[in-house]
Amino acid sequence: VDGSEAAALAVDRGPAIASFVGYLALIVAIGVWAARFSSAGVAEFFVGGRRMHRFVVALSAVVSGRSAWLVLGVVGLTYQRGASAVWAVVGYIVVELFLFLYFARRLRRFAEVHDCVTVPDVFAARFGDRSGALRLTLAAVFLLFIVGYAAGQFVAGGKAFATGFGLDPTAGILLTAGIVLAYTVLGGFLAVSVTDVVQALLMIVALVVVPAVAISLEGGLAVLAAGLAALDPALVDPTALGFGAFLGFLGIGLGSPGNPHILARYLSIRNAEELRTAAVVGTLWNVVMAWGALFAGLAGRMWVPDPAALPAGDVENLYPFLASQVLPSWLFGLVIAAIFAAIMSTTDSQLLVAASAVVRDVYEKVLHRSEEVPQGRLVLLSRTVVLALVVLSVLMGFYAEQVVFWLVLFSWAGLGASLGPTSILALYWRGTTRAGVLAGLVAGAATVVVWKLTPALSGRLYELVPGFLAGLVATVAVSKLTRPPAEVEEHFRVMAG
Amino acid sequence: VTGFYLVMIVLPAAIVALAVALAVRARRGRLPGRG
Repeated sequence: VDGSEAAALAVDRGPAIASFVGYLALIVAIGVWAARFSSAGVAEFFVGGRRMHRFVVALSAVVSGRSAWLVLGVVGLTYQRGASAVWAVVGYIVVELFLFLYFARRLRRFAEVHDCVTVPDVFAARFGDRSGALRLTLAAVFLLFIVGYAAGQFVAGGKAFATGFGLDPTAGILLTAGIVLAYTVLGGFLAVSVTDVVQALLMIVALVVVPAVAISLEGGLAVLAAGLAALDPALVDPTALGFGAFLGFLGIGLGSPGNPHILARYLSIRNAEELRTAAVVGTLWNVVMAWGALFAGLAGRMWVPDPAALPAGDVENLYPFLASQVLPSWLFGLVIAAIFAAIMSTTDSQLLVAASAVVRDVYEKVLHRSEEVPQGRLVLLSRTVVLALVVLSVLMGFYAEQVVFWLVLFSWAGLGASLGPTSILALYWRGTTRAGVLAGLVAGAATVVVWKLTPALSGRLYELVPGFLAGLVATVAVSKLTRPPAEVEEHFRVMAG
Repeated sequence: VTGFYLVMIVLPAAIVALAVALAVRARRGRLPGRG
């Protein structure tokens, strides 16, 4: 019996498919509902007119950052390593708490005064980017890494269709891409954010229900801890990992300030002060989802001690497999829907942010900077670019089917190492200059690529950590040699509120 | 097993408590007269 059949056989497909299709219909309906609002102009299409509610922003920001990597990758990682996998979630959760509370408020205040729609808009206003070089570099970095990231998500969608419903993975990839395309093209940012709320609810329920039911069937938490300790004492030891792994795990958090699809969420909130409430809601959601994934991995290890017994012998299939074992079939359909929620909530935001870099930053602000482009034309162009990016990501996905999480972590690192240090310095260090930011973007991205392609290095430490440091050092060093913009004091007054 | 319970139960609760404490502190920081 091959992997996909093993998981699908355990459930009655009828009710599972019915609940899954109901979920998809709701998501597409939201896209249709939001289409009118999003057609008004690029500010509506790309940041929801900066009128988003704090709960929508809180949930959208955390689920856009949590992709299939959480529901499939972290569950699989915990299955293999046990409790020491906890460090892979602690870093990003704490970093995102600080982003919500401090970084995001400065970013949002600055964006309002300078009418910024995109992250490159913020950089251009902060550093007086008259030549457009900064916008073009940012757009290039976004496209380079985001297409790979989206490709990884589509492949994960194909895998989930295969494991959940026994569908051919290629058809699964196309179906995942088609659904994301439909509601993102129609509804823009509003649809992406509102669907993110639905996805966030679904993900939290699924990530609580599966481990809760599995652990209770196993006899409770104490029985699970004792059982795992008997299996292998390292499974219950949170310190059972090397220093490089520990640093790399915590270092995942360095990516959050550099992922433009997360920063776009902060830009969209209707009032910067509401980010305080968003910080609490977002952190609570992040914590419950992450520990749900950790507990699912631990419960799964007790349930199926031998990884060879998992579908296709792949630990990343554990989550849907465990759900098929412990849940009734209609609920299993919702768990598969939650995996798609993780995939789609990330991909839709990334596609929009990449499209905004092309349309707003390259087309409107560089190629046509001396003329007024009609908003209707910009929105039409944005929709066309989203379509083109989906096609590109799907093609790349077909070539990279075997390396989903390799691609996801690599892209997360590339964005984090280039945009992360430069955005933090732009908001907090008066000495930052345009040349410094350009150097930081290039140094961060290049270090990630080189580190990843050098096996002797990439085996020791996650490429984001050295990449982030290189970006930071390059930005500071070149800034020291050049002159900060004249308006820097005014900019800092605006950011401080 | 103590370490297991610390990271699986106490740590997540501590992070949420930190979020609440920092959010409240950020609010106080904006009262008139406090800059």
